[in-house]
Amino acid sequence: MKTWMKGIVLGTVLAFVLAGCAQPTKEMDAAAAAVEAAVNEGAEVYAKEDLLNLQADMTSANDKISSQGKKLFKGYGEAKDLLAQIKTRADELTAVIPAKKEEARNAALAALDQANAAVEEAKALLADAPSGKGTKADIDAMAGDIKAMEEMILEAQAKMDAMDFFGASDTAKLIGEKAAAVSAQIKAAIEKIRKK
Amino acid sequence: MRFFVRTLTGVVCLFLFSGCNPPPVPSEIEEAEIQVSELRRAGAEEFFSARFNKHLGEMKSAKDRYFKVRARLPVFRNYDEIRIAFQEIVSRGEAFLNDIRSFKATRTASASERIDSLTRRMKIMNRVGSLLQSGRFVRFNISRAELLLQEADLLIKKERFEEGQSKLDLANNFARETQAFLLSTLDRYDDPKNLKNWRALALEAAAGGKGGSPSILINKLDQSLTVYRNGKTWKTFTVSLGANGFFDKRHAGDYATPEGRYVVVSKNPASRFHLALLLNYPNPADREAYLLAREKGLIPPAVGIGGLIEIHGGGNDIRTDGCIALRDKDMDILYGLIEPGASVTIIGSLHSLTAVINATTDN
Repeated sequence: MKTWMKGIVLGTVLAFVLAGCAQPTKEMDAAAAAVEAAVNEGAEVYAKEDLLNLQADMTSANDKISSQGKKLFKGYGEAKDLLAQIKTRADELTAVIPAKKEEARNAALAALDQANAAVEEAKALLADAPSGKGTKADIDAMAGDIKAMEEMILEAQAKMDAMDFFGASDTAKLIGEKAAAVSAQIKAAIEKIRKK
Repeated sequence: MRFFVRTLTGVVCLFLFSGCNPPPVPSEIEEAEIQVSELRRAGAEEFFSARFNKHLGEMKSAKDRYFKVRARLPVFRNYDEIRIAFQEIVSRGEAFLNDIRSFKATRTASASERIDSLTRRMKIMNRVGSLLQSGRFVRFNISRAELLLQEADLLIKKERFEEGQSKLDLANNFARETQAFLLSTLDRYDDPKNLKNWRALALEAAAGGKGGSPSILINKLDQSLTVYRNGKTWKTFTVSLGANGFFDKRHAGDYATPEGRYVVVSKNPASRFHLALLLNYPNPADREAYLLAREKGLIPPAVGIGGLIEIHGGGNDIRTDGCIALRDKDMDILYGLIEPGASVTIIGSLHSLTAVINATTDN
């Protein structure tokens, strides 16, 4: 074989080998960006477990890359596959989160509506309660309960505005339960007066 | 010779590249990986970020060493040091996990204790506040605090300790504000002179009933009526008081319940409050106090001293004009036992209001 031909063959083989040596930085960056996008979309709140799995797989992919870095003949195929998988899963997660957010938002809105209705019912009952010598103090105290609930509704609304839907939902549910209890107390007091 | 060299080279190559079995990868590496996930789930990043980063740094360094060894030809791979390094990491990780669990358990326990203590305080203050005309302010604060305590409880269960603590701090502010209000309104319940007097009266009442008719002690702050027979507690009932029951009665229409030593003067089987025992209010001490208050201009001249203070039925959840009310079935028991002439002592409290609210007493 002539020398120039040997050179071409050797060059081709070397180019082939060196091309295989390069770290899959493009894939790494793409996967990391996809995971970050999921985090920015709210994965920590709405899909915490999925995010933890993605982060664990990112670590695993990085390990695979690091382990190849020490070898003479580097093979990043496995790492690339995993990074592609991570990117796909992260993209899917990012796409799913808005629906989850909407679901949480709707649940919070419903809880807030129920809480508002329960407080309004308690207010109406209290307004109709017979206020006399024996009941004035109780009515006054229950008005204090209602005022407290109204303030808490404002807090729940503030959580909604800050897009803390789970927090808003929790607070609204507590208010709803408290308002129902106060309504029951008012009804019992009215019933007692009627019996007398 | 050439054949020998070729054969030897072939054997060496075979040995180096494929012939020998590479040593197995230490299982501790995977164990450590799984542990990192567990640490993340347990909240290592959130609660101990510096320590977690250090742990990750140690993992990385051990992994780098592992990759270096793995890059060698199988025959030159020795994982002994790597195994030891990962064993140490796993062991430290286990201790770390335990520390996180213990940290969370401690925070949860301390928050729960605070929630319980605040709930107890608010409950007592609610009871006391319900007997004040200014109930709206007290109830507003108590309701706000109750809702905040429930929110705090939810947050603590979700391991959001900082947010939970801030809700507890807010609830505590409402509790403090309520306590300050109650103490300023009912400062006589923290007056050592009053407490000393009430304790002396209670001792007399407890010693009473020996040999003769039973004696009664009514504790306003406790909202209790205790019957003593032969110097021993016979029965205790829950009572309600006047709409201004925590104050000492001074005049007609003040809705306060009197304090001092009284006797039952008559029994009324046809009371509109089921059954009634009439007390000798006003007694000489009440008259003296009334006249003194009038002299000082604290009571308008047209207002009388009042009367008709009874222990009666009708329920222990009603507001009276100053009488002491029990449930009808409790009144049945009391009415059957007490005869005219029986001693009735009414005191404010055995313990200071501060001690009662802060639950530093069993009272």
